[in-house]
Amino acid sequence: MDTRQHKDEFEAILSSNIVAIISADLDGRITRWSAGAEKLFGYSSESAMDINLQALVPPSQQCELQTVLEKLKRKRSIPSLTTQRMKKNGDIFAAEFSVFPVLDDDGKEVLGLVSITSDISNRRQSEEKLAEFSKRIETILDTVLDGIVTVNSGGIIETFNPAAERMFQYRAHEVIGCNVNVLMPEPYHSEHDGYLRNYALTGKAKVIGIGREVAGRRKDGSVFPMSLAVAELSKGENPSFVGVIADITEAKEREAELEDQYKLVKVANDNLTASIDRLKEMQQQLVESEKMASLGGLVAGLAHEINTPIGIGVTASSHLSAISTALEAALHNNTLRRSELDNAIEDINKTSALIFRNLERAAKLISSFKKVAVDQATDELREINVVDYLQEVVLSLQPELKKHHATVDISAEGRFFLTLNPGAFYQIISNLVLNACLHGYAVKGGVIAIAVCQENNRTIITVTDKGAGIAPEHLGKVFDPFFTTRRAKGGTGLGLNIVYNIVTQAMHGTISVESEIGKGSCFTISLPSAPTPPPKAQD
Amino acid sequence: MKVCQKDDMLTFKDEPETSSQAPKDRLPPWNVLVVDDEPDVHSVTKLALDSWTYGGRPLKLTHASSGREAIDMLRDRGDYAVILLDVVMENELAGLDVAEYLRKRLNNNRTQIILRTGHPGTLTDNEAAAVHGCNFYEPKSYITSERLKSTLAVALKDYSSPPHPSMGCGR
Repeated sequence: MDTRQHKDEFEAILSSNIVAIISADLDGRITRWSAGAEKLFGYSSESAMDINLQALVPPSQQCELQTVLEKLKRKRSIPSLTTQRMKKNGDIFAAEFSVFPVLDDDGKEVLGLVSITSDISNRRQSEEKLAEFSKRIETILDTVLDGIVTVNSGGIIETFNPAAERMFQYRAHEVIGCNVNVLMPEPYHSEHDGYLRNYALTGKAKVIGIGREVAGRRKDGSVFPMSLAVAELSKGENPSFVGVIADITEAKEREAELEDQYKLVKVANDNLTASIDRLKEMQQQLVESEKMASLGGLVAGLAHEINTPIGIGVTASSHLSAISTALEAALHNNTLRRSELDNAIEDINKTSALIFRNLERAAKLISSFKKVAVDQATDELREINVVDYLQEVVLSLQPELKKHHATVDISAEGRFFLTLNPGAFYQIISNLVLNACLHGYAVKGGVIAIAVCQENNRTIITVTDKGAGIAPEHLGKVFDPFFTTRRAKGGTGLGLNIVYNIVTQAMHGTISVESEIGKGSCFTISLPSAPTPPPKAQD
Repeated sequence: MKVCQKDDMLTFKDEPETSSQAPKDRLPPWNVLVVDDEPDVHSVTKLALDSWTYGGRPLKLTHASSGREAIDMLRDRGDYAVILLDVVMENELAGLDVAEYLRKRLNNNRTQIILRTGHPGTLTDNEAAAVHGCNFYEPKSYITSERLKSTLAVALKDYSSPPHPSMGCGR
């Protein structure tokens, strides 16, 4: 059994193509050539019989081959030799080479040799790569600015790179083998072993894979802020850890500087905010005083307007009483003439008509002034008939209009009702009308046309004059606060700004202006409320 | 003298003879210029002063409805005894412009100015009167017909009498 079976196994090895099995005589002539040899060297079995072992060895290794053959002649085997071999095509590869002498049956004479050759170029490359890689890692560790320290599961330092040496002022040999807690101030110094035990027990990491800012302790005992990232290098029975450390003293200082700067900026910003608030408050006060000024102007206008009919009434009624006194005396003395009585009656008629007319006028003035003055003082919303209200506003502005020889023409396509704050509406219209007087008709009078119409659910009110117009360089600024061409004459530059704010903010509308020098100006207000029909037809 | 009873018919005195007085016997009227932009002021002034006389002389009222018009009239003739002058007309100081024109440009310090106004524009009442050489200041709402007549009487007396150094109106 045995011989047969051994032979079969030997054949199997011979035919495997992993290794080359070659037999040769002591002169190097090849006697047997395995399938693996065919594959490894590229020679067929037949052609291999014609070559010498020397053909398989690159020129540089020929001496070695001679040495090997010499050893074999002295019956010595060479179990393993790392060397180089050459293929049929001339390629040289790293090889592991084992060779044994073949003895005669008596074991006295060396008949030849049998060799086993395997290609180890892959393994060799891996080993070289690994060495190269280690060297690189070492270079990196030596070069990086981050301190890199590895410790074992017990917290004992295994490696300590130059950057770590610089940071902690320890030489590597001083700390390798020490507990890593020498690099930590209290309380970390005392607690670190506990951290490691805790991690080993629970697997709950405080730093590993997270990274944090901690404190480091130098050899001289001084403490510095550092960032620390820790990774587990190998799991299992004996885990080890790598810590990557950056000294963040400078970063901390910069941070503190930035913090200081931020505080300064914040103080400046707070001051600015306070200034803006104060400005807003002042603007509010100005707006308020503008409103009061407009109310004051209204009252002054009222005083003048109403004094005229009252004065006429005072003169006229006292004249009536004078007539009456004269009549009484004449009657009493019987000196009354018919012509005198006729004259007196005619006088009385004329005078009482005058009184009535002027009392009516005063009453009407007071009622319209009262309406706009009350509207000025309250912020309530109510529904107004736009055209009627425009007429009230214009009536209250009569003194100014008269002064500038301006008249107002109101036209409307239908009836319009808006729910709004009438005082604010008064401010809009009176400001626009007075602007037309003060600017448009400063030199000579004319007509101010107010038109109301509807356009896609919006009420459009235009105030147009044919006066002086607005200079193109001023046109873009008329709604800006404090822009005025009449500062010297007491203009605040707030009128149109208030109009703008009321229209756009309080009434959610828009206002625009078109103007041409010498041709006049047109202000267009668009309010987002469709004219609604009056509640009932009784109005 | 017959005593009248309440229900007696009214008996009128005989009308005077017409054209009984020869024109040469009548004294010339006082020329008074009324300046106001309010037509009813002219009407009531006319009614109140229609039959009033001072020193036996009636008034001849001339009417101007603006400061501009008044200045034209003052330039045309210089014998107005009194101007009844409104202040706020075509502008806030139109009346004061008239007063200034009369005193400074026409150099007329004799014509009496009675300022009548609702409120005198931007100046206070007395300032307005003094600065612009006005002789009297009458707030409109206080002018009864009696007060109008008495003020006119004083003004006409001043107009007729020699200039008084203490009046201080630039005379």
